[in-house]
Amino acid sequence: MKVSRGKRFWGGVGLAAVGLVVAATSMAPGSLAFSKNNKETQHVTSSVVQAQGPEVVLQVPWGPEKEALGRVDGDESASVGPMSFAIGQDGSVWFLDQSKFRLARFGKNGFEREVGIGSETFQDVEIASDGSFVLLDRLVERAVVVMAPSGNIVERIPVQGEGIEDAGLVTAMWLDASGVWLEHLHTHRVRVLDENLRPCERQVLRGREVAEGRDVLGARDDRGNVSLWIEDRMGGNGRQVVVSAPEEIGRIIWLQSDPYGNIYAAFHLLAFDPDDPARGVVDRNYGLRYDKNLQETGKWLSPWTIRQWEQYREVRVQSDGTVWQMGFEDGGVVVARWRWEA
Amino acid sequence: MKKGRVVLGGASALVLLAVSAVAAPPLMSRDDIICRAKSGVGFSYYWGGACWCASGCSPNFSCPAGSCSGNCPNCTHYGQYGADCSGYVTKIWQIPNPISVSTCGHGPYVASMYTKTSSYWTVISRNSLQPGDSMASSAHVLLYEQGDPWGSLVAYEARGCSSGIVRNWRTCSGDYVAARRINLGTPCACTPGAKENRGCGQCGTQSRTCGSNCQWEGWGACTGQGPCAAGTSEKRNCCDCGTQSRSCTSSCQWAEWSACDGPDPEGGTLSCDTGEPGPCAEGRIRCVQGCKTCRRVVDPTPELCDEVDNDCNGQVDDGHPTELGDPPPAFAATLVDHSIPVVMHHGEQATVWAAFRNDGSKRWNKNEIWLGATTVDAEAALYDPESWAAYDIAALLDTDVEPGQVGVLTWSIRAPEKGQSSQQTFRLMDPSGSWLRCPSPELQVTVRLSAFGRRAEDGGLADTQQGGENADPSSGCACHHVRAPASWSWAGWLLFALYLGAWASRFSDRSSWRPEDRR
Repeated sequence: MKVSRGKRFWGGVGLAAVGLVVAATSMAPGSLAFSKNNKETQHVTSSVVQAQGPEVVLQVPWGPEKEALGRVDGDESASVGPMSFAIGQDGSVWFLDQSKFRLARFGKNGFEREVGIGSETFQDVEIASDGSFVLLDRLVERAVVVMAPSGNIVERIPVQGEGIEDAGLVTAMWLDASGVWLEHLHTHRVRVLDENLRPCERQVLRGREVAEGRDVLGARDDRGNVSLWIEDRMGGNGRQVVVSAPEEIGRIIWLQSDPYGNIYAAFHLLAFDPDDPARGVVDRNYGLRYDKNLQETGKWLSPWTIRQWEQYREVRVQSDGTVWQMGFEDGGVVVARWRWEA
Repeated sequence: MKKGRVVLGGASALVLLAVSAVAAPPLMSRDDIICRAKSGVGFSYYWGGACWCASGCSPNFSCPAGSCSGNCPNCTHYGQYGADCSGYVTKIWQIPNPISVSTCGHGPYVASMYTKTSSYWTVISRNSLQPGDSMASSAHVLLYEQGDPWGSLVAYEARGCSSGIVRNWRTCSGDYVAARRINLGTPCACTPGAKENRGCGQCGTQSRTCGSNCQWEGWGACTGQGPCAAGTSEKRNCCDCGTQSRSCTSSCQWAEWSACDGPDPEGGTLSCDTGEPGPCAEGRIRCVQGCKTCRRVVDPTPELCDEVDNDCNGQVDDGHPTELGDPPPAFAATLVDHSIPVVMHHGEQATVWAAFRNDGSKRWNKNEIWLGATTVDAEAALYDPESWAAYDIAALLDTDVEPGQVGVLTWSIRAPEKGQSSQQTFRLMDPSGSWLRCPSPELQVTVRLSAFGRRAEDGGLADTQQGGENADPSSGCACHHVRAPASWSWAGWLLFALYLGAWASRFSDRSSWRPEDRR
């Protein structure tokens, strides 16, 4: 299946589309607002279920107002949108709206509140159970900052240290029950804050944790094939699978597991015309769910892929397996989710 | 696209065209490109700028990094150094002409140009990206350093006003197009066919030839080497306790081995027997010229009177050593005086005496110190069977003599019945019957014999020799050589008898005396 990025955008202004699930395939070339298409279907086998979605949870327009999100259109520089997003315990969505020096929370009724962050160089955010924010600045401050819900900074630690030689090579930050982890070039993770968000002795482990002392890693070869494998921290390598994808995989976007050991993998399918390397012929996101033995159990498709506006965090997975994605469109930012039937 | 209009507008475009016609970007390796990219990290984002200072592959912040604020292109930059994304890549790639990174000036290209093939770069597939290639969109361009396992990349880029020039992991959307600079490779290093020699190994030489690709071929074999590397040294063991070394000369030849030497085994404490007599027998194992050798602890010294073989000749106190040792022997004696007739008739008997000082450490007990006759020859030994205790024992000490005191022994001698002279050597013996050896425990007697009724009628001399060569000069004795008159009258004999009597009476009331008493 080939999807042309330039023909995918939707008509209408969709700020009111929170929670809307609309199945449609129409495209409106040249439109600047949100698409009405937010769901694609795919035939699946009986053993592999398709996630329910995409369900558009939020659509926030670009703009200077506090009810909108900021972006930078590069001019001999990088273009950036909100670099990251997080899901609050009440289901609201926090955007790292760094170009407007703030964290902005949006709910089903739109903009709710904002917290100033004093910098536009943060690139990722996590929200702790007490409402604290954990912010990552890889390139300028090279620091992880813990901020109280009020916006007061309560902790600041350097990114560089054991396990991380160059802060610019941090590929992800996440918060789990054991604390805050930074990932180095998708190879190893380093625990930098404990469960109380206090500095701790750094712990370096490979991959991303699955469950039961096992970790998952992934790798793409130069022909677009991707392998995932499990490493048991006590017993060595476990099962390995070659990802079955309908198109060439440009990159792995995200890997995460839920408390049951299910693994969620998101891929950017990206291919170019062999005769014209500048012309893209495939550009979409694709997701797979595996059980803890890397048996494929579910999949989802997304029409939103990274655009010219750079973002650091595109996908996250909640503990119940719900997959969230932040996508950029000409008209604004879309947050969609995929859920699984019980 | 504002930037493109700014840079390429008006006269600038004409300049670009002119430059392009003659431009020749230098041959660069991928390492060269990455090196220049690294040298810019940390400098500020400078919209429209493109220069920084490098020290090798590192940034040189002796040139101030500058700072940027605001939203570019409506941003403000402070300082001379910094770059925007296209200025950064253009300066690193050195297109269209060779240029130093510290030479300011943006260059003719903007980001969007890198999305299409040009005279100086070619659009390539993303899957063939290699270090030093570019990734460009309509608004931004960066340099690829390496991929990551997930298919994203590590890039050098002049990211933006707030971030500056960075090296970072990042993703690139499908908008980004990969491109590769022309003239990648290694610059011409030599003239084809040229040869070059160099030293190698151990004073050897090797050569290489410049190939047709104007790159040096590999170095040839190293020939003409010496056996060792100049300045090195080696050591070896020699004999059984030594080592020796030699060093390698500047011409890679071994010098001569040094002398074989080494430390004494066990620090020189190992005992051994030199095989020599006396104190020279005690030795220690030494390392001499690398070999274990038993060397005496004490060297020979002139013999002393001390019951020690000081000169290590196998004989104790031989040669009548006159110097007493410390301690002295248990038994030692010095002849201090004596009385012996010079001439005797055949068969005549005479009484003689000798005074010896006890120089030993033990007392001489009465009857335990004997005066022995060393020559056992009845014809010439002055043996007197009537008075001697045995044929070889002339007398016994009849009083005790303490160390330092003088004891006098008196005995008789009998001239043999024939012959012209008789000789005998009398020597003291200790209680065990051993001869005393020193300093002068003996008396040598030579008596001229006369067949007529008077002594020494031929006017000859009767000689005595005391205890070897040395009599005690402190004794002051005038009797060492007693001259008898050449012709004796009866009056003379009477005077001589009185003289002897006076000497005898002098000792009659004393069993011993000290030489000092005589002074």
